[in-house]
Amino acid sequence: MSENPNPLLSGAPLHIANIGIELIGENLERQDVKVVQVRWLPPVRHDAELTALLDTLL
Amino acid sequence: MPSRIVVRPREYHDSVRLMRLSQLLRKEAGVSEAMIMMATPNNRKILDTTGFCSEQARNANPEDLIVAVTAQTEEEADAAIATAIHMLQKNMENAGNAVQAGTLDEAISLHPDINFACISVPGSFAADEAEQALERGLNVFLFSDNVTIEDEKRLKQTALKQNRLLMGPDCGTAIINGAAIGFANAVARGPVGIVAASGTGAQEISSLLDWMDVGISHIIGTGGRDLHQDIGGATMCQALELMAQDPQTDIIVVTSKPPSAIAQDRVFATTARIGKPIIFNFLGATPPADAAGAEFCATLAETALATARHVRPEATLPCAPQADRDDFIRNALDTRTPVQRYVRGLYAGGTLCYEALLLLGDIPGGVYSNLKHDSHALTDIFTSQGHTVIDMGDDAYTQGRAHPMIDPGLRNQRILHEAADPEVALLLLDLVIGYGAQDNPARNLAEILHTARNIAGQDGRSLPVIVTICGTRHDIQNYSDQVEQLEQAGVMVTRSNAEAVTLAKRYVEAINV
Repeated sequence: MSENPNPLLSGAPLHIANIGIELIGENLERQDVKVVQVRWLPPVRHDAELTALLDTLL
Repeated sequence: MPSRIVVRPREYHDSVRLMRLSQLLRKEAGVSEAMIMMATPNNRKILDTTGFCSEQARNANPEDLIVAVTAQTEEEADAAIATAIHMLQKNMENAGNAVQAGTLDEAISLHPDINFACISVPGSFAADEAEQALERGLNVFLFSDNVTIEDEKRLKQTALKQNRLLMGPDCGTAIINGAAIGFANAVARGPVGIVAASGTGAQEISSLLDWMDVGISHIIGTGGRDLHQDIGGATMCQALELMAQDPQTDIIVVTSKPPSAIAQDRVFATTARIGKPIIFNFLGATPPADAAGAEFCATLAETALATARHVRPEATLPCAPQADRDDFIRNALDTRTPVQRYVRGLYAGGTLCYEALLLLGDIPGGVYSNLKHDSHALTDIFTSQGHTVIDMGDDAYTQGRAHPMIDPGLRNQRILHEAADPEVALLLLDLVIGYGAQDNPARNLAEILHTARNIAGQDGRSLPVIVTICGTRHDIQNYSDQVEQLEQAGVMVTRSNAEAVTLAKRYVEAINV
C-alpha cells in the first residue's frame, strides 16, 4: 500500500469531477457539494474507410 | 396508427436525459408512444417488443441514437419527430453550457482541490475513465454497470496501490462526510458507518436507523461484486480500515449478499483488528460457527434494529399498525376470485428484491425470479410464472436505459401486464425515494396502479397492492406526501421491506389454507 494516506473520511469537503450522467452532479449541487461537470462522449470508432479517405486527402 | 423511426448515427446523450426527453415527447399533441434511446441490443429488443419494427433500427450500433414515435395521424407523427430533433439539438446546447471542463485533466488543472470522481458513462468505456481518475489520486464512485470482472480486478489493484477507493462498479449508493452520492437518503449524521456491497440494502438500513433517531457517519459502497471470489472483498477491506480509523464512526454495519469464502475470510481478518462493534448482514448466509462475538442479522430491518439498540437501547422498528395489516388481509381475501393465487413482486431495489426472495422462500410452489439460477430461474424475464419476484434494476433490464428508480417506464408496463393476468392475487412493490430518485414517484405509481386496477376491475377482479417505501422524513420528496398519495390509491404502505414481504406471505398462506 502506498504511503499516501487516503483523505476520504478526513472531513475535508468533497470536490467532485462528475463524468457522465448530469443528474448525479445536479443532486450533489443541491447539497452544496462542489461539482465540476466533465464533458464525455464515446470515443470515435476506427473507421477504415474514413482513414483511407483522409490518407488520400492529406 | 402511424409510426416513425429515425436513427441518428453516432449521437450520444446520457440515459437520464433521454428518459426526460421521451417523457416530454409523449406529451406532444397526438403522440401515444415515444422512445428516444441509444441503440443498445437491449433497447432494440424493447423497441421490437413495443411494435416498432425497422430494418434501420435493427442494424443500428450501440453508439447510434434512435427516435421512435407513434401518433394519431401522419402529420402528428412527423411533427413529433421534428420536435424530438429540436429537443435533442437544444439538449446538446444545454449540455454544452453545463460542461465546465473538456477532460478530467482540465478539470483538475482548473480546480486542483478536486478529490473525488463520479463516473457514470456506459460500461464498456467506464474502466478507462476510472483508471485515469485513480491514477490522478482521486477516490472514485463508479456508478456504471456492465464493467467486466477482469477490469474490476485490475482497477481495484490500482486503487490499492494508490491507497484510494474504487467504489463500484455498479455502485449506486454512498454518503461521504454527509454528501449523498447516487441513490441515497437524507439521513441525520451520527455514529454508524455502513460498508455496503448492496445499494438499496444500505438505503434501507440507513433510513430505518434515521426513523429510530440514529444517524450515519458515512456509507461506503463497494459495488455488488466486491465479495466475489475473483475480487476478494478488496474495496470492503479498504473501507473497513478507513471506518476503523474514522473518529466519527463508533459502530460499523457490513451489508451484502452472501460473500465468497475467500472474501469472507479477508473481511473477518480485517474486522478482527477493529476495536469497534460490527454488525454483519450477509443476506441468506448462515453465520460461520467460528465467528464468536460477531453479531449477525438475517434481514435489513433486523440489522437496523440491532445497530440502533447499540445507541438507543429502547429503539423499536417503525411499522404499520397491526389493525391496518389485519384489515388489508381481510379485505384482500373477501374480494379475491378463486383463480387469484400468485404474488408478483416488481422491485426497483436489487437488495430489497433479494431479501423478498429469502423471506418468501418456502411458500408452496416456490418463487420464480430473474435473480435465480436454479429450477426457479425465469425462462423469459419479461414474463412471470407462478409466484414471481423480479429485480427490474438488473443489468438485463437497464442496459442503455436509466435505472427504474429514475425511469419507472419498464416497471409501469410490467404492472399493467400483471394486472391483466387473472391469476395475480397481489402486487408487491418498492418505492425508493431520496437523492437520485424521481421528484414525485408516488404520483406516477398511484396513476399506473389506478389504470392497473381498472384493467383488473373490467375482468371482475380486485388487485391488492403492498408498497414498501424506502426513505426518510428528511428526503426531498416528502415522505408523508408519498405515503398519502399511495394510501389514497388504496395501497397498503409498509415501513420496511421485511414488513411488506411478511404481510405478502401471510396473505399467500391464507389463500392456500
